Amino acid sequence: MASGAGVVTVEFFGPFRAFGKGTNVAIGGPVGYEGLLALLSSELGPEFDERARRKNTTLIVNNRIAGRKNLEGLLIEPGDRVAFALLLGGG
Amino acid sequence: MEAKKIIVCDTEKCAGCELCEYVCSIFKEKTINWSKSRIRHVRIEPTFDIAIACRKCEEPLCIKACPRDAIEALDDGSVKILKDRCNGCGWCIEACNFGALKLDWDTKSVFACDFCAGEDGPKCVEFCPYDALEFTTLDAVGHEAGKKAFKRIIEELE
Amino acid sequence: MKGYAGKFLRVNMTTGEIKPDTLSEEVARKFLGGYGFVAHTLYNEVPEGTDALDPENVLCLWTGPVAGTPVPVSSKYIMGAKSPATGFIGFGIASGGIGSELKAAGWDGIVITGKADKLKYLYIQNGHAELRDAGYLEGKTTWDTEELIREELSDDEIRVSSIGPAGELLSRLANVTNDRNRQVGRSGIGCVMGSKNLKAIAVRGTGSIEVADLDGLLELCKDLYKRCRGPATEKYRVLGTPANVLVHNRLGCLPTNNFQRGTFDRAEECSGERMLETMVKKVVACPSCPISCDHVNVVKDGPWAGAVASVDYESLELLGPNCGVSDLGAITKANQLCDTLGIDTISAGVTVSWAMEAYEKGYLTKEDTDGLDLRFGNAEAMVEAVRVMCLREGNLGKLIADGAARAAERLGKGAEFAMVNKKLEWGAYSLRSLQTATLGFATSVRGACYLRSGSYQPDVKGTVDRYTLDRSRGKFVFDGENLYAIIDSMIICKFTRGIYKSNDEIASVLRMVTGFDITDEEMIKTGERIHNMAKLFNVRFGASRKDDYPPPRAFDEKMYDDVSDGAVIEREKYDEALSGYYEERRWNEEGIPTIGLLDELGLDATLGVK
Repeated sequence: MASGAGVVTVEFFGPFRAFGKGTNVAIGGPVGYEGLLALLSSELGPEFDERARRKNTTLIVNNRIAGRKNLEGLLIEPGDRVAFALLLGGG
Repeated sequence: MEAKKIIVCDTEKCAGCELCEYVCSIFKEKTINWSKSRIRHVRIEPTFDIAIACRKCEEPLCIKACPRDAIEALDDGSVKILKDRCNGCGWCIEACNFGALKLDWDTKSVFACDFCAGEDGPKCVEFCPYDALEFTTLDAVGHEAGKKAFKRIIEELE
Repeated sequence: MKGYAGKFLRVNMTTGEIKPDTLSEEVARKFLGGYGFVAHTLYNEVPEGTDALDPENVLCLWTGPVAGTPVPVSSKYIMGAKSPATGFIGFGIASGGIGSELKAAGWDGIVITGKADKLKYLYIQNGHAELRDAGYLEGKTTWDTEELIREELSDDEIRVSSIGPAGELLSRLANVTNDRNRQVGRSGIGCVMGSKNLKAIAVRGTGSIEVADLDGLLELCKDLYKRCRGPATEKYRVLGTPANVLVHNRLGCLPTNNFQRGTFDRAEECSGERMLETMVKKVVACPSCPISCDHVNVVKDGPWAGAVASVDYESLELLGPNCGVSDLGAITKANQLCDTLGIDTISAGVTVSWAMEAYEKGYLTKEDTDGLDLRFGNAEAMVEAVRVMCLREGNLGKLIADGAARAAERLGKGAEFAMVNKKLEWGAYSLRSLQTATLGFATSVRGACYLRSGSYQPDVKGTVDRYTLDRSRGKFVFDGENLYAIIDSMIICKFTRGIYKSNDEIASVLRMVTGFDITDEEMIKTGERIHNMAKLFNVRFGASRKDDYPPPRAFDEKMYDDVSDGAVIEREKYDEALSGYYEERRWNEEGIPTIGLLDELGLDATLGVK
């Protein structure tokens, strides 16, 4: 692999489990949110893209919650752990 | 002859919200009073829910039971209560197998679902948030159940 | 006034006298209903120096103006009193059929004082109310009590709120259950009922409910019902709140082993996903609810086969991972014991986890635990500990029946790991890895929960850094509290908050129900007034800054964890954030409301400070 490349570990929770418990994606270097979605949709189909883009989706990168407003400038690096879930809270 | 349509409740979808009862009373009585709803929710604990209204029985037991001939069968199979003949004795309530008749505590006469005659269809069906209610014929219900069963068999065979 | 019945019942348990009283429009406009009325009633009517278990303690049950209307999830009620757990304002909000039924009976609420000479229940049927003998209900579970009262009165449509044996035995954690799955859970309201010899409140109503604009309201409601089936509520409908288990675990904020850790190695086994796959029989709804969030578990096999309970996140988490337990059957069984024998699941879970830590540290011996091997992860021991706690049975039951703080007092040690605020047990939100949540929990007037403010939201939305605090966090808590005070006073379900397009749309519901010409700003101001009213009750009974701190574990121990390793709350940062919250509230550094603020809100300024 070229230097700067690596694997992103992706986990699915809640309704995203329709796509399995998770997967790994190989990236050539840091990717943005759109780039990640494109990679995952090519593997899991356009239904994944549709589901991920819904307003109640929450993205977790390592131990940070990437709020909807922070998605634009987001950079996901090789070795990162990413998770898709629904908006949290309540009890 | 046109097939009779009744309000059918999918017990898997019905969650017991009772909003059908609120809505019925609002449209039929012009006030919020679910004790005057024509449709009734029944829960059998822990999780069985059904909303039930008049079944348009082929041989209405309520009409047979009424000692004052205060109940009439209409062409569409629903029943009409003749309020000036009804004295609220409640024999029809005892006779009905489904609890489809109720006594109005204020007017002292009984009432049953008229399927929102004159409107665009039963209001409870229109408002049910769970799409659990359908205004349909028993033939259609049976047909749907058969289709569903066959679809499942075909899926399993494939 | 529309929406309101305009009258409430006063019940004197000592003399047996029951009489009607008028709800004034001034009080309705100023305090709205529900939580607002509880705060107003308790502040004005609980005498100085009253202990929670004294007959003079006032137990009130209030509805809000929207109860009984088709507004989504409006069949709610609140019960309040001086709390036997905290000594401050105690209350709990529950759904089910009681709220709408009481309104249909023609009453906005019930205010109860005194103590009966033997066990009674209150029966209200439209305009008629009486105290009936409840001797035959003594010791009965809440579920049996509901059935037996319906049988006695030959009416299956009666709604019943009742206490279990735990309330009769005056456990300070005792809850009240109605419609089987719904509880006035926290702060020991069931204990106050027990102290008055009041076993149950049974209601039947067949009256009409009037609103100002029925057509407009119904039109809005039709759209609201559709929104209740959309993305704003998806989480509640499908997995339910147990969806939080895996996500909190992933974030290192799933309280594990008495809040020592934030991750649990067996989280998958007790996840919302696993629960839906293996145990949820059906998801049911409360009256007036188009969402349907009530996941009813029926355990099919194993040692707890036959257990039935509606299981939510906090119950699951605190009886589960927080006790090191991953067995959903055991968790469901413990949940059912709590609901039927009558103890709050949150307090139960955190009290058992305290006992487990005490046992593992050797502070409790097998003699203290009546032979139970009360280690983290021992599911059978967890279930048995819950059972004896509810019944005050044996050495262990007697030790822990009144909660973790009092158990530590009785034992003479272990106070440093009693996870409480104001002596009330903490909810299932990690102290050190959700720090805005912690600020909201610790400053909560009821103690130890987010229900007054939704303070976990900035943490879980990623709006702030959840591993630290600063002076600006108070604004989140302040804004949350003012809006939630309205939600808790109307009363509508917090799960519907996401369906409204704006605060003005919520205000429009109030306008169409009551006919009050209230703007969204006036509505939020009313929320601020209600919150200060509740705070004043606490101030009257000695609350100050010292009561607004999380348990010592938050500051004294860094988290040792897979995800949130090293997380801790820095005391100076917490103090800064707390001061920032008081400043936002316009209270002084001790958390006492200022005279200027109280005058502005039209509240009694006797206890105010300059």
